[in-house]
Amino acid sequence: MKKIYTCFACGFPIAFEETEVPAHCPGCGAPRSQFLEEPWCGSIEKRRIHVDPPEVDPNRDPFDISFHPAKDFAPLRGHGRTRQWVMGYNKGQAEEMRSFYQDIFGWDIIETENSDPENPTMYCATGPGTENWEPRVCSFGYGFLTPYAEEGEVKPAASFILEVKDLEETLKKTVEFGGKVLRERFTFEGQDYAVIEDSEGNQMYIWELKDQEPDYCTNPITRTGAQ
Amino acid sequence: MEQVKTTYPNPDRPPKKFTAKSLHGRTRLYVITYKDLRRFQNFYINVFGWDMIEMPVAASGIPAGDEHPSLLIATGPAQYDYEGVTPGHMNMFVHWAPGEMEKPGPFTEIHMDRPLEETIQKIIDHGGKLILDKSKSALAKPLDDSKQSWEIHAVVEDPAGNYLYLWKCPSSRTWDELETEYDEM
Repeated sequence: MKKIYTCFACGFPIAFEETEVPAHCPGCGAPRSQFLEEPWCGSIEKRRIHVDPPEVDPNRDPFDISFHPAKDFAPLRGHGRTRQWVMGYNKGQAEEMRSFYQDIFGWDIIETENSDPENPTMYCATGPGTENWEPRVCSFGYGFLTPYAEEGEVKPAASFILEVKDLEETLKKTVEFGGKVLRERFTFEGQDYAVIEDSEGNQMYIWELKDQEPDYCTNPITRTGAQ
Repeated sequence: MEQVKTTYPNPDRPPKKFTAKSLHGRTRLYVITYKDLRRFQNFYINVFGWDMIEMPVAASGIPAGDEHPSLLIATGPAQYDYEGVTPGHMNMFVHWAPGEMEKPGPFTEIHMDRPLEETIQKIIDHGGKLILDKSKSALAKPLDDSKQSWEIHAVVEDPAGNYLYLWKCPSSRTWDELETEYDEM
């Protein structure tokens, strides 16, 4: 018999046949004994059991990876957010890449302003966006398809872009905590970036947005989830 | 909603409307690997302020308490289930690399209402490849569409060699969650 199971530990709801219910909550890993059950009512949206999400503990150990609600990010002012991804391609492959991602995944792809028309950097909308080409919906990102990097120590590898508030301060901390600087500050299409490697060898761009502050820093958010 | 000025050439039009009740093609998270958990944590907690939990076994396939856990990481404001709660950032899915560090790539959602094989065949027909060799990705696996799962369903390579980590959402998805919004017609 199909039922709706709502996790008491984190509030995550799932609907399954009784014989197929996972042994642990997909949201937080709590055992099935923590699931609250109700009959299937034709739609998970119409369920009647809702659980208050757990409270954030501002004093918790940040190295403790046991389940906890994520912290308040407002004090970081957007620093550290993964804003975009970067995927490379070999010169001459632009049209193949464009058609791969448009035809299979339905992306909307534009070329950046000062690109080489033969081998452009392409900006990709992978889902709903605002008028100014920022993702409009939570929990996904846009990214770039670009010819593989040929600058200094930058590797021809897929990468991601993190927002930072102070580029030089972040470069200093990168080295202090075991990373490497692969390329110092540079400007691309009017934006300031640097390229670093983390302590494990993952390469990423850091993008300085010194004066921009996300709206949630001044207008606190409500964690509604699926409540 | 966050309002940030455009930073890209605006082609005098907004992005197209994504009107299907589907998250197919959205790059939902970014996937990277680590070799040393404590070293990884020390870097990202101190340099970027990330907040992380052990990824539940239902999504990682790794039992709780394993010495090489997968991690679900908030890089910005997040729901209790670590989905983003404000638009404009991706969270991270990080796993242990048993051998060489693996190619990073986007965790990309695919059609939840179509057979997995159909989506993969379309990728192959367009010049992509299905990765099955675990030495290339610890997340690589044979296709199995027989049961619903929150785990990554397939690792594929695009024509330039980039990896995409594909996920087919279980049918129990609730469409009242923030991340499931789509454009009106």
